[in-house]
Amino acid sequence: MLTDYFKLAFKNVKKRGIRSWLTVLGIFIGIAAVVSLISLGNGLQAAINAQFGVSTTEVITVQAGGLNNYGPPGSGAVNPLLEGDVEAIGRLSVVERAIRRNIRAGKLEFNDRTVFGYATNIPDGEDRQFVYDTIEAEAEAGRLLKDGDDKRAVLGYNFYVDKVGLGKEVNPGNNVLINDETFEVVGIMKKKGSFIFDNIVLINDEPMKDLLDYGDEVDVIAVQVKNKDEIDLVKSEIEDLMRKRRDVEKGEEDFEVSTPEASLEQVNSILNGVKIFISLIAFISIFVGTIGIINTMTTSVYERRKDIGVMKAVGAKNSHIFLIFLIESGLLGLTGGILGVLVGVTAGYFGTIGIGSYIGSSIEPQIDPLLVVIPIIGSFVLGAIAGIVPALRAASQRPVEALRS
Amino acid sequence: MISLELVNYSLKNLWKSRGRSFLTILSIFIGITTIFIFVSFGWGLYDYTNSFTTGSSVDKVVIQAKGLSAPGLDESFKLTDDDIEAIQKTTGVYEVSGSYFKAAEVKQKKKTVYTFLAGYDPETPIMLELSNLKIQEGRLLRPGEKDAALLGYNYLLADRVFAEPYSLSDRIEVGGRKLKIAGFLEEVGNPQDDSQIYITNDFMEDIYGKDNLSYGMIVAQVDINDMPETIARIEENLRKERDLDKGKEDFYVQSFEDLIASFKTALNVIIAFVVLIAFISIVVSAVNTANTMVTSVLERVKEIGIMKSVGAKNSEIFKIFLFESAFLGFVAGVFGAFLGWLISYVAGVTLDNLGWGFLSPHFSISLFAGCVTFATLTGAISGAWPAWQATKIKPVDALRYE
Repeated sequence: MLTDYFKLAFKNVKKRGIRSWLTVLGIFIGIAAVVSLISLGNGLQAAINAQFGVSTTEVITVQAGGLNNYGPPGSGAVNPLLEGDVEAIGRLSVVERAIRRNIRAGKLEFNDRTVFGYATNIPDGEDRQFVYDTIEAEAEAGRLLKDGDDKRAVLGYNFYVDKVGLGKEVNPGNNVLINDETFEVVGIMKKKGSFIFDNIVLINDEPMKDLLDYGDEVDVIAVQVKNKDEIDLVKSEIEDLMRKRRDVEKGEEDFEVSTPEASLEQVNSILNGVKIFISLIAFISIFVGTIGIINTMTTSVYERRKDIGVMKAVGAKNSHIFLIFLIESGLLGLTGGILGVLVGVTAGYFGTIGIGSYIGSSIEPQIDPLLVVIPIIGSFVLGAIAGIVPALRAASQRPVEALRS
Repeated sequence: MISLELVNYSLKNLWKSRGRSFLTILSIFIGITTIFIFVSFGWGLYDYTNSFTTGSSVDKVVIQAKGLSAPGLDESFKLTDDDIEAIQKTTGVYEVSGSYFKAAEVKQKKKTVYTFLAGYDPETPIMLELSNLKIQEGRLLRPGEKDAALLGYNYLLADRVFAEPYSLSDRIEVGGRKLKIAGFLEEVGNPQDDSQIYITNDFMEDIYGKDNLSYGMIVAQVDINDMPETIARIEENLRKERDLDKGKEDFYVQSFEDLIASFKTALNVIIAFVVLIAFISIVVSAVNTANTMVTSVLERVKEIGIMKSVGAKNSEIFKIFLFESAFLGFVAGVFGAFLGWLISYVAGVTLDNLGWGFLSPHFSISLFAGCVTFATLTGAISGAWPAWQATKIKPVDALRYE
């Protein structure tokens, strides 16, 4: 029974040729735009999230309060964190270890050219392995830093493939000038697909402190918790401790303790905002496409009032007529939806690869099944909704008048 | 031109199928509204950036140390008094002044806010001229004045930076010190600049100690007719003074116009992208219009046949249908521009109240006219093909057509 409706609807759609295609084209463009923009947005989001380059979620970070949105962590601090804070946090019973992290800007000279970028410290002893694990550092060439490596550095992957603007690849064994002091490059990190980590310079704690002269100041404290399930408890214990140490009251903290999820969430909420905004504008075209369907269906009902009259005269019920037009209109939406998803997903897929190679991030483009299913079902439903009023009008026609016209 | 008679005939036809005409107009109308909104805000942003390139900023050159953060937050490379001296000696430079920048903690009751604390020299206030900053209330700082601050516009208002507004008789707690308020600056239109606090360089040195400070930014007023050469000479002198080879500079020298230019490029890309997406809906509505016109031609095959057989020329038939679709676009354009104006206006006022005054829409006759023309053209173009089809109808076939 239902298949008959579909057959009839399909035949009618086909009969109107060019006009049906134009109607479908409207929905198609809208769906293709929305689907491709959303999947591009998802790709971009994945690329940006990859920049965080942190694999474990059991790390809590502590930062001093200040203008923290203008540069690397710690750069906008009003009252910087100190070495003593790191030690005190490390002594908490729920904390496995607390590690000082400094991220500083510097210049690097090689091949008679200068580039500017970030350097970060690598601690000695057991902490070293922990830092390597969290940033998933592995040597692509040469080796990673060891205890006692003075005046030696490990560089990010981009130095190895001459992507930082030095005009020549840096290889293990080369000497480079960092802030006018000679460092031997002992290794290159594996490609991380993150423009922060692929352009970074790793130096051991002591030589970095000597070189950049930041004394006791700490930019960020990375805290490993003993028990992953207690992460919120640890967070509040660190907050209590820091409030005491910095002599501030609850609600007046001049520092931030955050879990990695929290900082990711912040970035993601901004990205989602942008995505929603863009999709909303693109959605307008779907809406316009829907108006096109209403238009076509209104015309279709008008053109076929004689047919409707005949159908009714031979016993078609109002509900039959209604369904015929509703399905026809849903079919217009569905066709546009399927074509739109095909084109949109393809565009999103290749677009994501494009973005990935542009920002030097190795993101796997993914096809979100929801992004296929929802638009297809949605376009059928939208088409059907667009057809309700014209279909109702068709159903309520009186056979006698229809036949007379 | 099209005759009055044909116009009359077209309008009657549009009225006869008014449901369809209405839906077609609606679909163009929505797209035009969207485009109007984005173009008016985009245009407003250009106006905003242009206001800098025409004001007191034109003859200013900005010197900053390279780094990866905002001025004052990254002190990897420092600009010092020696650099100021080197710039001062450069031919073509009239005045030079350095500014310190620090992140500072500002408190009202229990609430803490972090903002930029900027130092400047009241004797050569070219840093304020750089961004056209003028006094809204009170006065500028006096040379050497201590314990007094000049506040951004947002401190004058409730619920912007803090719940309670400040007035000239109040004191404000900055970095643990209670400062006198010398004056408030005019509105810049963005929350960051409007919550900035200015004090004298001398006071800055008192608070932080001269050794712990370096200039976040040096501003020079130069001979406007000799700008590129002067910039090159400043670079040369700084390289000599800082003992650096060409190509290895750890500083930038830029005219204010250069700074704005890079901002404009980013602006171009964003606005173009957003308008492009909004444009998709216009394409869809053009398809709808074409559809409507195709239907309209099909419905009137017989009529066209009759008109032709009593002597209507092909060009007249073409004009009738072209006029109809262009008219649909025109009506949509008028209403779309009007609604777009209404929405932009309300949004602009709302944004202004939220402290984003620089995001203000631009309205002009050319924007309205542009939108209406664009909509009319969209209608005409999408109607061209169906109109052309109409002229190809043969009278004999048409009369036989059922």
